[in-house]
Amino acid sequence: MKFLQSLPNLLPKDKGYLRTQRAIADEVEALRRRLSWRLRGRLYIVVDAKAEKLYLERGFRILMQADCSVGRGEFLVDKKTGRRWRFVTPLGEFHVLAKAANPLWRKPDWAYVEEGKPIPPPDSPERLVSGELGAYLLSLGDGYLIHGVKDEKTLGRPASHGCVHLGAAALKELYNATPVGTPVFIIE
Amino acid sequence: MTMEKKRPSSIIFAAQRRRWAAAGAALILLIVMNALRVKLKSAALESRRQAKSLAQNLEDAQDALADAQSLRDMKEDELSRAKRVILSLTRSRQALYESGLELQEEDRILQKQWEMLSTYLQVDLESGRISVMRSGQALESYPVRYSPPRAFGGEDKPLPRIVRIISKERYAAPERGKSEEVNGHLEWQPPEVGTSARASALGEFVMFTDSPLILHGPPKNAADHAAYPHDCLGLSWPVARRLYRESFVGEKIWIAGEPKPARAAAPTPAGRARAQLKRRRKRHGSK
Repeated sequence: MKFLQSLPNLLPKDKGYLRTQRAIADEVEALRRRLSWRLRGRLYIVVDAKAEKLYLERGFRILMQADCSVGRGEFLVDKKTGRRWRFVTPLGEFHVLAKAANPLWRKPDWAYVEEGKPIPPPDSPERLVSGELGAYLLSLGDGYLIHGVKDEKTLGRPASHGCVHLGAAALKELYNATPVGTPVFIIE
Repeated sequence: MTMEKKRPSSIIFAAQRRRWAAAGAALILLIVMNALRVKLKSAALESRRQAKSLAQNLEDAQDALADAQSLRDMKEDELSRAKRVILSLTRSRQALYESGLELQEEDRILQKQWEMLSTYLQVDLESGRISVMRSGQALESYPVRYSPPRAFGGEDKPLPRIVRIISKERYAAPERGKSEEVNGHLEWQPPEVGTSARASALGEFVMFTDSPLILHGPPKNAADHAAYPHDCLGLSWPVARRLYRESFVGEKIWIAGEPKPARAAAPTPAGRARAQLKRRRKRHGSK
């Protein structure tokens, strides 16, 4: 009997829990009906910037989900010029505008400011870096991307400069499953 | 001729005594052995009896052991069945709990998507206000300076009724990011902070649309603003900040209503201050 009592009970004793669940299920059904004109049968990506998760969905069915990392929201100020950057991931409806494998990164000024190194001229070849963006890249426009990350331990918390970071396996799956033009909803 | 010698009688008696002694000893030996035999027999009988008793005990113990073993097997069966039931119960509870979490997760995502897809901005040309709308209801409403939007820095093209926010820039300073394919590789250049005329023309909280209309706060430099080609609503800093926070990339802006007939230009802050002073003087009867 002691053994039975020691077993963890995941559900609350209050039976009202199930009623609440039913109410949420009804709400979800109503929301699905409301959104069906836009989303039914369509392939789209949802990035939950608060929960740091990325979902690939078709209609209302989740095809894959993975931990991601979005903009950390910090400010960076270049003391020499007074230029300021804020590393946030913008919210809204985007589209996958381009896809690429083994992309090159043209290192921006802020990366040099962050590293405390002198900033090379804009067209300097030393700005081009390979391997920084992972094996694949999906461009959302305005310089915002979904790409890989070197240190996958940072996934699940805000760590990027505004892009959406994904682990290598999830990125490959997303790259293969998502055609150009796929809507991307970034929510918070 | 032999001469027979007679043995003496003492010798004869001695021999007889030895025989009798031997016979006596043999008799005693027989008696002792018989006594031993009797004793051994009784001991053997006792041992046999004990062995019989032990065999009986062994049989009883074996029966008891068999009973105990079958009881133990039954208990083990019951315990493993109970464990299986508990495991299945715990798994089903876990599944129920996880499905509840998934449901809440989906609810949250759909709510946010609905919020995003049902929110739009409405510029009412008649009242000269911009409103954050959701499902046809105005959530917030703010005055704009230029209604209809005023064209700066170039020719005045008519705006479409519905335009869409295509990007937002917090500082109005960043140069637009871009990604382009060079030699088969996609090169990415993120948005950069610049010091161009565009940066000082648009100030803070900038929302670009797919038309010449740009929503932004007060410009850093009025001359750059006047020269920069765009259509402007003339938002104040708090309104621009509010709209920047409440809007999403991809959101529609609906330009509704007909503009009021042209009238005198909106008073400048200096003009407003002069009018206020005039009213105050009039109230106090002074000139």
